[in-house]
Amino acid sequence: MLRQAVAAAGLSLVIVGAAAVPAFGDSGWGSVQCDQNPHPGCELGAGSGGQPAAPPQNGGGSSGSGGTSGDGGNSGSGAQETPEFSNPDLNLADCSYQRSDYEPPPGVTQTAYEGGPDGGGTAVAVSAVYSRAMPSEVVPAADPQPGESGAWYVYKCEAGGVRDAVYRPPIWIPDAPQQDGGAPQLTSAQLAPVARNQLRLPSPQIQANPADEQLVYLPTWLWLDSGDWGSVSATASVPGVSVTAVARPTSVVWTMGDGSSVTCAGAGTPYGSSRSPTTPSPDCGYTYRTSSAGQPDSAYAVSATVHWTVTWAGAGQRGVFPDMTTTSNADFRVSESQALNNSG
Amino acid sequence: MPSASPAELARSQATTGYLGMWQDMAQAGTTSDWNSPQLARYATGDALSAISRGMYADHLNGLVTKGEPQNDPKVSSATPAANPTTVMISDCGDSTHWLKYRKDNGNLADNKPGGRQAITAEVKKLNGAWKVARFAVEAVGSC
Repeated sequence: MLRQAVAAAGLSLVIVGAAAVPAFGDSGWGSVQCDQNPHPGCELGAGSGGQPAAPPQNGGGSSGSGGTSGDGGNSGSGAQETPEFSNPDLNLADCSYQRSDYEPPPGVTQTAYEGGPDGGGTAVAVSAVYSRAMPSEVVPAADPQPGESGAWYVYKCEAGGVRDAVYRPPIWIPDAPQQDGGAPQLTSAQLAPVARNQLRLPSPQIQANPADEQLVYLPTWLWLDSGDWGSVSATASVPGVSVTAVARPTSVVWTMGDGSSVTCAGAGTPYGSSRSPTTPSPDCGYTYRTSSAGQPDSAYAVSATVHWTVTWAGAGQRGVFPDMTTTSNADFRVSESQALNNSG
Repeated sequence: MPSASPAELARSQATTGYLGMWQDMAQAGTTSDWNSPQLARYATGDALSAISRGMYADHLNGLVTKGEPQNDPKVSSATPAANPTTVMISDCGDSTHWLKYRKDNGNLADNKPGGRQAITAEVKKLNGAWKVARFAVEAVGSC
């Protein structure tokens, strides 16, 4: 009995703790911290700002070297998949918005400098391996266009049973075009991009067999962790209107680093040890013809890009957004078969 | 006495602007005065927007910030080399003594300590003044 009571008390403590988690850390930087409140500028960090990107977390990632140094120079097809605001830990699955009286200080809009292709920091951000990527047009909190009608909205979110205790910094949401000179209003079409921006897509976790080293003429199995292959949704609501955006993975394009690419309709079948090593994957595989000797780091720079269709629906309306993509990179070493030494 | 080169001057003034931005944020944060004109002294554009909006949220949530951050900024690049107008700064800031408190009872907002946080900032010269245009602050423990 006592045991049970203690356990119950412990459980309720945990729940209270979870519910009290604020959107902001209590650091003085909490309200501008990129892992809590992504904002334009966070692309400067993206895990590579002045410090090496963290090694991949997936234990099964032995197929990739995890090294970042060589990949920045291989301006592969994934290079445009920045900036990286995505953070699955952010609880943004379900957010409710309300108008605020916020007004930006004058200095926000009087940016006289050219913000364009000034490489300074952004060139660094593309090199992160196993990075979580979102399309570059997705900006978490855009400032209004000059003359644009709309309002600043504060919001609270909930995901995984955790609800924000506090409001997050305001974002700008433009009003719907006014029909008859009436009061400005927010429709599902205005809310749809907000819901899309809440989507947190997982980055693909690259897996392959053989795990350590590929061999020429031996089938390579390619797959992604199945947990990363499924619909992701997010809901944005204001009083009276609610919009849900759904992203669905549709295909993976693997660039193999030797000039070839493979398109797979799904995550791919994980290799099972009961299979013969010479059996090709039933749905996602490749066979190298030449070794990776002579490549940078003697490895092929491989990337897997997941394409997501993004739709939205709410208040009797629906629509489609441009596809989103997420990309991960890995280095594959491919040896001539006489170098076979992976009996383990 | 030799005068500083334009590049040296740029590095020094950009660093001053960068530190000034956090000092101004710390000062305005004591009352969560998100509309303080002081915030625009050394911050502009996206940087100013992020600070002001974040502080508005603090204000709405009944939080204020007390103390000061500690910074250790280093210039990672300055371009164009001869007469820089853009300076990139890498920093490992420390928020151990710069925390959020509840305005109503003066208690800490929560029991999570601050700590070392990696910061990258882009500082630009605007009409002769150096201001932070963009920045990224990573999580506690990131450096």
